[in-house]
Amino acid sequence: MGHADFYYKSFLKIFLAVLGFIFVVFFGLIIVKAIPGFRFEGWSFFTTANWIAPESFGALQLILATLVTTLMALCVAVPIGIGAAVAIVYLVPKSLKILVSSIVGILASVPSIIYGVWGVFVIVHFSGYHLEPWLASVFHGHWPATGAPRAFGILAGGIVLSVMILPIVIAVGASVLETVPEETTEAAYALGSTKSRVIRKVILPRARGGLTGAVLLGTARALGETIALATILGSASTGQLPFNLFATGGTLASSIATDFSGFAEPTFEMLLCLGVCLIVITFTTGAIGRNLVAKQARRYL
Amino acid sequence: MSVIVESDQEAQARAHIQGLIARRFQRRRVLSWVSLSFVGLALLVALFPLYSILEQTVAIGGHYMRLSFFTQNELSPTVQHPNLVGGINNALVGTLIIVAVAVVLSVPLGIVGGIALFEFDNKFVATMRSALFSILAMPSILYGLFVLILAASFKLPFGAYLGSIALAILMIPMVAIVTFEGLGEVPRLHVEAGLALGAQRLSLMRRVMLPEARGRILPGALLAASRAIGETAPVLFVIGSNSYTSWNPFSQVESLPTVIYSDLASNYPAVRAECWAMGLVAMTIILIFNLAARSYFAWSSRELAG
Repeated sequence: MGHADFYYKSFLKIFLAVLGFIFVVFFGLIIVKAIPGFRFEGWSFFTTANWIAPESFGALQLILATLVTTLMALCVAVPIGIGAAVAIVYLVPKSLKILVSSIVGILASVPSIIYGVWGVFVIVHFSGYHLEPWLASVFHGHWPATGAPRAFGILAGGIVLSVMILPIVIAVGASVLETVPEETTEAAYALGSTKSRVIRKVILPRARGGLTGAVLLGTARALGETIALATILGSASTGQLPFNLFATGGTLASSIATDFSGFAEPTFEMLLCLGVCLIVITFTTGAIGRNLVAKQARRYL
Repeated sequence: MSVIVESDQEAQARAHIQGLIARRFQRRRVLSWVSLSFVGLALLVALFPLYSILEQTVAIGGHYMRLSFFTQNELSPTVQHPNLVGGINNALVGTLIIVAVAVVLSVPLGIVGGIALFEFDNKFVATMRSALFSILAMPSILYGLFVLILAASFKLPFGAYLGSIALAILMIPMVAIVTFEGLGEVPRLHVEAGLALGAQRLSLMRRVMLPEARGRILPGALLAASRAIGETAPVLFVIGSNSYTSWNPFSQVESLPTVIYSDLASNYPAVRAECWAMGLVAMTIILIFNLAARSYFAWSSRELAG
C-alpha cells in the first residue's frame, strides 16, 4: 500500500465518522431537546387529547389522526396502486408502457405543496359540497359519520393522502413486478393458465415481499406527510378523537408545521416531542417493512 | 380389429363432458377478462386524480405566465385593491439561492460519503448504509425542526443559509446512496484491469470508477436537487420572510413552496388563486430537472453499452 492510498483510506475513514456524527447529532439533538417537554407533560401526553398551548399538551388526538388518515389512505391506495402496477406491467401495450410509467414516475416527484393546493381547491370543495352531505344523508348521523359535515377534515385529508402515495406504490410496485423472472410465468402459461390466473397465482405471490416494501414506502410518506395535511387539517387538537369521518384536527407532522410560533418555553419543546413520536413511528414502520421484505426474499430466492 | 361403436348413452355422456369442459373454459375466460378489466380500471382510477392535478395547475396557473409575473416582487393586496398580487421574483430567487447553496454543500459530501461506504466493508459501514436507507424515509419536517434547534441553541438569525443546511442534510443520504449504487455497478473487469496495472485505490477511483459511475451519480444529484426545490417543511420555519429580491444567502428570503403555503391561507381570493401559478412554476422547474436526469441517465447508459 502506497502513501497516497494510506492517506486516501484514512481520509475516507475520518469522513465516514464525521458523517455518522452529523446524523447522530441530528436525531440526538431532537430527542435530547424534547426531554423537558416529556417531563413537563408526563403520561398525559399520550393519554389525553387536549392540545391547548401553553397549558396542556395531550397528543392522543394527533397520534390517532396520524394513524387514521394513513389507514384511510392505505385502504384506497393499496388495491388501486397494486392493480395499476399490474396493469402497467402486464396489460398496457409495450408502446404505451414507457409513457405511462414515466408519467407515474414524474408524478411521484410532484412536491406535497402542490397536492396541498389541489386538496384545498378541489378535494375540500368536493368533500364539503358532495361527499360529506351524501354520507350524512346515508348514515343519518350515526357512526361513522356523526356530527356536522366539515369540509376541512379527516375525510378530505385521507383522500389527498391516498392520491399522494399512489404514484409511489405504483412506481415501486411496477419495478418489483418487472423483476419476476419470465421463466416462471411462461411455465404457468404453458400449463394452460389464463393471464389472470398467472397474475394471481404466480406473479403476486412471488412479488409479495417487494410489494409490501412498496406499500410501506407509501405508508412512511403518509405517516410523515406535513404540508399537504397542514393546509387541509389546520391547527392542532379539537379534543375530539378522530374515530369519525367528519372529525377535524391535525396530525403529528402537520401540527408541527401549523403550531410553531416561536421558541416560547413549553410549546416549542412539546413540538419537539411530536417530532420524537414521528421518529419512533416511522422508524418502527421502516424496521417492520425491511424485516418483512427480507423474510420474503429468503423464502423466494 | 374391432370398431368401437358409440351407443346413444355414451354419445350423450361424451357431449355432456365436452360441454362441461367448454363451460369451464368459458368461465375461466370470463373470469380472466373480469379481473383484467378490474386491473385496467384501477390504472384509470389512479391516473384520474393525477391528471386532475396537472390539468388544474396548467389551466389556472397558465393565465399568469407573462414576463412581469417573473420580474415583479410580491405585493400585499389591500381592501381597496384586492387583486394586487404582484409577481414571484423574490420567491423564485430565494428558492434558487437556497437550493444552490444546498447543492454546493451536499453533493461533494454525499459523493465522498458514497465512496467511503463503497470502499470499506465492515460492520460499522453496513450499519451506516442501512441507517442511510431509513433516514431516506424520515419525514422532512424533522429537518426543519433540526435547524430550528440549531437556530435556538446558537442564537443564529433566520435566513436562507439555515434552509440550505436543512436541505443539504436531506440531500446527503440521497447522493451518497446513488454514488454507492453507481460504484457498485462499475464492471468488475474494469476495476481488476486497473488493479492489474498497479493502480492505487485513489487513482483507480478517480480515473476509472468515478467517470464510469457518473451516469448514475449526476442524475441522482439532479433528482435530489429537484426534490429539494419542492420541499416546504424543512425550510418553512427558518428562512424568514422578505418581499424584496435578495441574492444574499445570509439574508432572509422567501421560497416558492413556503409562499404557496402561506398564501393558501390568505383572505384574498386573488392571492389564493395565485398559488396555482406558483405551483405551475415550481412543477415546471422540477419537471425539467427530472427530464434532464432521465435523459442523461439514458444517454450515458447507451454510451457505456455502445
